[in-house]
Amino acid sequence: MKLLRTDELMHLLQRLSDEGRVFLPRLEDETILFRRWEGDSPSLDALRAGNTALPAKDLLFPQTEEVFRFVANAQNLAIMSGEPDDAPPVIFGIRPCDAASIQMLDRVFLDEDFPETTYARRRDGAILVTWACTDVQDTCFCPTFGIDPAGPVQTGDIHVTDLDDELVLEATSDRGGTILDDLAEHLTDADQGAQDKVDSLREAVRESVVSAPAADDLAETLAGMHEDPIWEEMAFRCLGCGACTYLCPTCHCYDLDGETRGTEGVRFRCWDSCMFSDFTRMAGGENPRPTKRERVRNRFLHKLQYFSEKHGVYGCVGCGRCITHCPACIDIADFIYTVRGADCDE
Amino acid sequence: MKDTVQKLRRRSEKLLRKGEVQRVLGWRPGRLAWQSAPTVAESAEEVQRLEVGPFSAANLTKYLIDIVRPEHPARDEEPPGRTAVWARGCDARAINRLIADGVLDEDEVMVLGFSCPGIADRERVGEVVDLAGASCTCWSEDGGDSFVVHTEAGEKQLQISEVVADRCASCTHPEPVRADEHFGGAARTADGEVRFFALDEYEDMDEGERYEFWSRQFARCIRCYACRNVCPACNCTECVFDGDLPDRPDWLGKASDISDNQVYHITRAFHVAGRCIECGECERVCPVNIPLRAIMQKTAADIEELFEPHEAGLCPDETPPLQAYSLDDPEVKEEGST
Amino acid sequence: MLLNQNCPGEGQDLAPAPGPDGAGSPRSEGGEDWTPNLVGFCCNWCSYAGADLAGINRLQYPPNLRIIRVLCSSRVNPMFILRALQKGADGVLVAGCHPGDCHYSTGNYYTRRRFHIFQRHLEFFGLDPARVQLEWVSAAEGKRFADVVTEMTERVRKLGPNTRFRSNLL
Repeated sequence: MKLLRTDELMHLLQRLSDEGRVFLPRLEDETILFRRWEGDSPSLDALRAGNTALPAKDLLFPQTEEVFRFVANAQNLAIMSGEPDDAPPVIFGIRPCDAASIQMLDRVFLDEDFPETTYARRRDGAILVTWACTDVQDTCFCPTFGIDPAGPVQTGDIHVTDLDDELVLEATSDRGGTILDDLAEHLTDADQGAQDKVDSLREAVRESVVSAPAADDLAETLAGMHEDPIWEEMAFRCLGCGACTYLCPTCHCYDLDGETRGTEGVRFRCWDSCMFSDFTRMAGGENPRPTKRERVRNRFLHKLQYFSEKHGVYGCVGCGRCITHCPACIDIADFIYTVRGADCDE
Repeated sequence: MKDTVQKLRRRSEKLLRKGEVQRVLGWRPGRLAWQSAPTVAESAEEVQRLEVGPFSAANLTKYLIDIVRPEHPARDEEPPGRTAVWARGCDARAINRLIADGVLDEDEVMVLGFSCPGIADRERVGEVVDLAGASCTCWSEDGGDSFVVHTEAGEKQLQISEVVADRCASCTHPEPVRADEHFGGAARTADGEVRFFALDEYEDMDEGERYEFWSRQFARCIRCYACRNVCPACNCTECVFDGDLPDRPDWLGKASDISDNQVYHITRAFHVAGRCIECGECERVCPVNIPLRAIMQKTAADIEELFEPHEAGLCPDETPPLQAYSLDDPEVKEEGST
Repeated sequence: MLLNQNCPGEGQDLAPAPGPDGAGSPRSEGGEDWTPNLVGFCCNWCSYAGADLAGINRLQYPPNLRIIRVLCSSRVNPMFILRALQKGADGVLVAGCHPGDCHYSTGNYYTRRRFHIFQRHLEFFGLDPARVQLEWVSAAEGKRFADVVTEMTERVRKLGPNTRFRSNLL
């Protein structure tokens, strides 16, 4: 465990910028978003005010990504593959829930035989500097999925705990260790006092989670609920927008589309949402999920049953963004409580 | 307000029991203190769960569209019958909007109106009291517009007027403009002067600053379409932005391209121009805090300036200003460029 | 990176050629010889006929306007104008019959109202309203059509190429 003075954070960011393009949370018109670090003196306000509105998935799986361009004339066709990013992303200040979500995206995109190449390229070089939560919201429920909001994230590279004047840095990977070694002149060793502070802070953070249902046998229970009337009730108030899916750190559905203009064109991949009415519409007009009931049911079963059955982990990390932003107060944590027949203060 | 809720429940139960309505639309509390979810009650038991509270922000009328125009007609063979709606000022205007647009018939809805004191803004309340861990929020016993937040640290009483949402502060019709029955409540007095206060901050921007400001907003837009889906004026059976049809090209793809985002927002603003009831739901639901209400209000202000004083949704048989004309309309050129 | 290895270096030959008059290339890039790309939606009965008359009379006006004929100016969907701006137009003209003379009686009254609001929208979001104009031109006004296009071309030329609302994808 090392200590870095908070007002010397610049040194860490500068060292990180040797590894790639650094992104950190910034406040923009009342919204906290991951933005490229411009080399300026960082303000920690955006890091201390709750999680980002949009998750970091856009940095590995962009909302819109060019796949190829083409130009043609009477004799020839030239195809240019999409521009690769020049440097991998270094994501500073990613919370444990969002870091866990990247594991899930890996399961989808890093198939052994057929990895998704642009995702793989970005992911391979990506560095995750995780940030311990000290500002748990009432919508957070990451412990439901075995995620610790405070402790070091083993799938990251460096874990940061904010002690106000000082930041505690822990390497959670070899790459992280190398980076911290390079910063030795700015770091001091954490003494027992600092260690104790960190431990008690972590305990306090874990206690501050307001309500997180136990997942237990959720997937098995849901497997028997395909025709349950609960879907009608939840679908009733769903407006069919895509806010939940686009804000969700684990959602990964996409569409491939293109635009042409005379003799040129571009093919791109973009996010899509299973909540949109035409998501499963097929050529010919048939739609196997014709109403909101089927679509809402699919979303919850995908995250809480199918993903678990296929990958062994639930497809939700309890970040709570969908709960905060659903216009109609659809609440996935409440849903889990209901399905398990549990009280909200268990 | 507390007794208003009791009266609404009693009447709703009676209406259901006697079969005068098939269902009642209202809100019910959620797991967290600030959640108030739109819900439908079809039995006396379900009516008991209905509650309108200081956080009952969601407009209920959009759900009327689903009721009268089911997505899968074959599945729902029974006619929808009549729906009772617990309605504030904005809900009543939205219902007029739907009737004027031909989506809803007058006899399909029964408006149970009440005077709305305004909705509490979640962030403003959060500055004064810790909502996390609060068990519930409800109206005070003593009437008026005060409400109580029950927290682990005790109870905290607040006035809505101290924490009211901006859109409610500029509301010109907190009293429902139509109601089959009225249940009291605690209305604010509408002050016509404040209708357009959201536009003040754009007065002093020059063209370049406005472009820079709005481009920054639209660059954040993730095209989730929450603003469109929550809007009572967006009630087309097929929206121009829902594409993916094999037989014709899309106006806009799903790509998040800033110019496509700009086109989406400008087009939507134009499509609802003169029909927008200024309820502010679009701004409430935007996950990235785009000031959408300002756009809609700018349009409303322009219409008032150029054509005639107008507020949408006051009558069920209004003709929206852009579906009408006057021989004396100002010429576009008379203005010159500002 | 060209994937088609059979034609190295031909990427440049495949770039879209400028128009036959040399002016108004698909993407306005500015520069000394730059002239604006204008798109004009002209109603069939009045303004299009007026444009025809200008042609018959051999009246000279800048060749920068690409005309799209519509049956009535009120047919013009604001999305046409937005799309034109997205795809490289520096200015858009909507031309119709004088109020009172609409072939369909009332179409242009709607145009006048709606266009006014739409232009105000564009202005609010930072587009100079001089780039998007509404003009009335009758079938007998060949000279007026020529004047309208000449004035608009000059006004937009002074404003320079339009970079606002341009599509980045293509």
